[in-house]
Amino acid sequence: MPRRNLNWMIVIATISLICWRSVQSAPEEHYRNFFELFAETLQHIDSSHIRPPERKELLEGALRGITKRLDRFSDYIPPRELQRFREQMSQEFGGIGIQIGVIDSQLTVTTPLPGTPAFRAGVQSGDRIVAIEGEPTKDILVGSPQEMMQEAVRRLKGAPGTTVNISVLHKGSEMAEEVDITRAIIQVSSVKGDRYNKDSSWDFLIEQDQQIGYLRIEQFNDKTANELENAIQTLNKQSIKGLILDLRFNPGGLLSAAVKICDLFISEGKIVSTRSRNAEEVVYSAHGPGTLNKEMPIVVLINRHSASASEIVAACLQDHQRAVLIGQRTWGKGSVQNIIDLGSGQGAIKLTTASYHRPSGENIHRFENATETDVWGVRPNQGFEISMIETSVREGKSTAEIRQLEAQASSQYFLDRSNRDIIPRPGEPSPERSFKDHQLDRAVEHLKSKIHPEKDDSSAFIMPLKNQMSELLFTMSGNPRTDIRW
Amino acid sequence: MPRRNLQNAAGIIAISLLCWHVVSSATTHQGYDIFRIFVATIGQVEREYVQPIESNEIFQGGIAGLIASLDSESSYLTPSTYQQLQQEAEKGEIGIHVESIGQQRGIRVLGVLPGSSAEQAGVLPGDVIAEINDQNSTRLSLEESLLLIRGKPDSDLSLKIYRPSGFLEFPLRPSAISDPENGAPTVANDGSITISIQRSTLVPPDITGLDKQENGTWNHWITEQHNIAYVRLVSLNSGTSQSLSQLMTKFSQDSCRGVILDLRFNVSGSRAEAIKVADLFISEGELARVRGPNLQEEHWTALSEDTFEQVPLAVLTNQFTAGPSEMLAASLKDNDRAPIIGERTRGKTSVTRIIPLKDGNSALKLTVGSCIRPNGKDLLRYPGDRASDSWGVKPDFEIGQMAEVIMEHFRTRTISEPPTFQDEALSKALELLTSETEPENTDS
Repeated sequence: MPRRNLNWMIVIATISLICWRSVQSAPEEHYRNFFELFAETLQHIDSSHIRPPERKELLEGALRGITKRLDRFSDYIPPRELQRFREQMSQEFGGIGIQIGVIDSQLTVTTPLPGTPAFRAGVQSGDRIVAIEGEPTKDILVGSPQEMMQEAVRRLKGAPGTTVNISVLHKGSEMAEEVDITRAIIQVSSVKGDRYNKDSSWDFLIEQDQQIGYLRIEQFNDKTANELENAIQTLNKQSIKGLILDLRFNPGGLLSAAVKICDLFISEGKIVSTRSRNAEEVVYSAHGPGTLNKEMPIVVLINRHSASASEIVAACLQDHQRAVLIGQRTWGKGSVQNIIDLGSGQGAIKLTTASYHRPSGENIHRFENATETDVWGVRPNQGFEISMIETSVREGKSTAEIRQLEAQASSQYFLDRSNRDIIPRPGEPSPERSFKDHQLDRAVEHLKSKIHPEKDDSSAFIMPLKNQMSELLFTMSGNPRTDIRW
Repeated sequence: MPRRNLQNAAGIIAISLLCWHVVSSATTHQGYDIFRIFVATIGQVEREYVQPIESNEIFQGGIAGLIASLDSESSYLTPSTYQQLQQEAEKGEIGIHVESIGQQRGIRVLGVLPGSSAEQAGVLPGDVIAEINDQNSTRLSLEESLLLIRGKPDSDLSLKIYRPSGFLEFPLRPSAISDPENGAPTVANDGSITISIQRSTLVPPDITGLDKQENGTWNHWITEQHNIAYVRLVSLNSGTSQSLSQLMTKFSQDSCRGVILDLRFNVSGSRAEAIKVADLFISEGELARVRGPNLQEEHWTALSEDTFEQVPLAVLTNQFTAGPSEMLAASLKDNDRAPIIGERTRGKTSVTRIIPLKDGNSALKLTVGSCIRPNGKDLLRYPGDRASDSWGVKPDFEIGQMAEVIMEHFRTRTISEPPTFQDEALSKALELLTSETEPENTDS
């Protein structure tokens, strides 16, 4: 064979080998089968479907389909929601710093957030936003209140340093005022008190008793533990004698935040542990230094919408007998999800990777076929099971009727909160409380009896309510809150 | 170069080309970029999910989700579903037609057949079925749900139902079930009702009338003078047009001056039968067309023989008029043959095809075409279409009435009870037909 031919053959053989290897290096045999089926599917869609959508949409469908085969907490987060999710966790975004709602079909400022550009520009609660960048809001915001708010948020948010022009109709004024507001990084607090002070800081003391602190944790995010610690230090300067942690309607958040918060209140022992399929059990334990208010009586308020991280905190403080739990049995979500960013702007997968376990070892997770008598969720301490509606009203009602009454009470609670979680306009008094909060009242009553032990806490002998069965259909993300912050 | 060398070289080149082809088809195929993310996700889930799970199971879920994102009619038939579909179907049914809500969000009842156990149990169009025998319908394709609903005759089926409009006015009733002790409907905390329904082999009629006589036949005359007839077309199954033709002949002999065709809740049947029914009333012109990117266009024109072209018609439709019945309504309207009374039809006229995949086990059900009405407009409501788009058939006289009310009407008529509610669309149709016939009366 001539040398030239041999050369050729060697070159060709080499190319073949490279080709062969690259085919072989495909991960596994069945992945190759997946690809063939996948490619064939796309081919059929392209050639035969009446209106083939964009590739990106198909991929989103496929990713959502993957999570459908998993538990109900695993989910696909599309790119547009991922950004919002991140901002919520970091409690930071670029904006002007107001909370909005749609009132009488008009875009309305429910409250400015303290210290933000909008606040400094004199935007006040109750102001109507009639135009954004010269465009009348009645023209650019259409659809449901939810859609209107989303569109408004899209137009008002933006990179820090950029400017947005809005026309504001102040309450009681006839002429709209045009203001240019420079956007900044807006910090959203996750720990709130019962109402704002005149200087627009939170008042963490309970109105009825200046010796009792009240801390409402709305979610467990990056800064929540720090915020809580700072708030407690403020309260300690006001020499409080008792503390209420309100975890009602708190859907959860970061495991790390829950662990840090537990560590503020207990000095040793297990906080929580997690178990995944591939790793050893991870035990989170308390550290001695940094424990706050060791002897102070604490009440944790819980309800059926307290889930996940809320349940970790409630269970830990109950098992260590550090707090008394008042309210209703919690949601029952005993699993941990990881957020897996898929890259290339494709969104993320929220994947259940572990279960978590309270110090007592009792089960928290409500499995799909669990009944009311099974062990799940975190229960209030004995004698402290209190509904949002009075016992006398509940008597003789069917489960469905009680459910409806509780749903009404929840919306009244949120209406009251959104009326009172505002920075009052200068010269106007703080809004009045419009909701009779039986659970909070019970917490105050209990703490008073601990602070002044000469008074008999007779209510501790009240028999617990039985058959607490009602359940609203909310998913973790479906919080009944209706306003959006931006 | 010796011939042998040449052959060797050619052989090697052929192998190389083949290899090259495999690699390049994998990397340059336009699906590759999204496949990479898809497969990486499958791998991650397989490794990290809290419970062990097969990659094959996750892959099938992914393909099912991909197809479900196309439109509510398209679905992936997994190997086990596809295999079951090819076998003989179970004979026991409860008498409902359902649709997929889309994107694997569960199923919704569209039609409840007269005399069926579902009707007795009080199941209504619009009801959302969340669970079928304890299986969550949001994790099932439409075909998987349908396979679960069917079963052995006389066996019980348990359905968990949400009713968007509320339960209080029209409660679900326990139906004829083998174990009444355990079969009573139970209300859950989330507002759903779980109910047991017995499957049966009963074949519901395709055509009914106004009320059922004691001898089991249907009375069609709506006026005392026996000059206006009412016909409810429940489905457009094979043979419906023939039965209707016989009825029409009978009506004509009885000096009929108008016929009301009720297409409300008509959600099943075949396009061919819809065309045949339209052809009974139209003597010339186009009836409908079917079109798709990879589909031989089909179109149907009216034949002049055997036509009842003189009888005045009125057609009742609502949002539960779906599928071939929409073609029928459109061809009667566009050929100026009948006024449409009621609500806009559903826009659910997709032409689907089952495409077996090369793995030999599974298949795709794809929407490959849609129905075009004589005026040239597409009847199909595409995903993302708004109310302002041209889908469905809009009524000439818009009369909206709750599905519950009309179904209750149908039910009481079946059991010869006086109806509790006024059927407003029917009254309007009657008014139109009588005013149309009056001038003729004065002429004669």
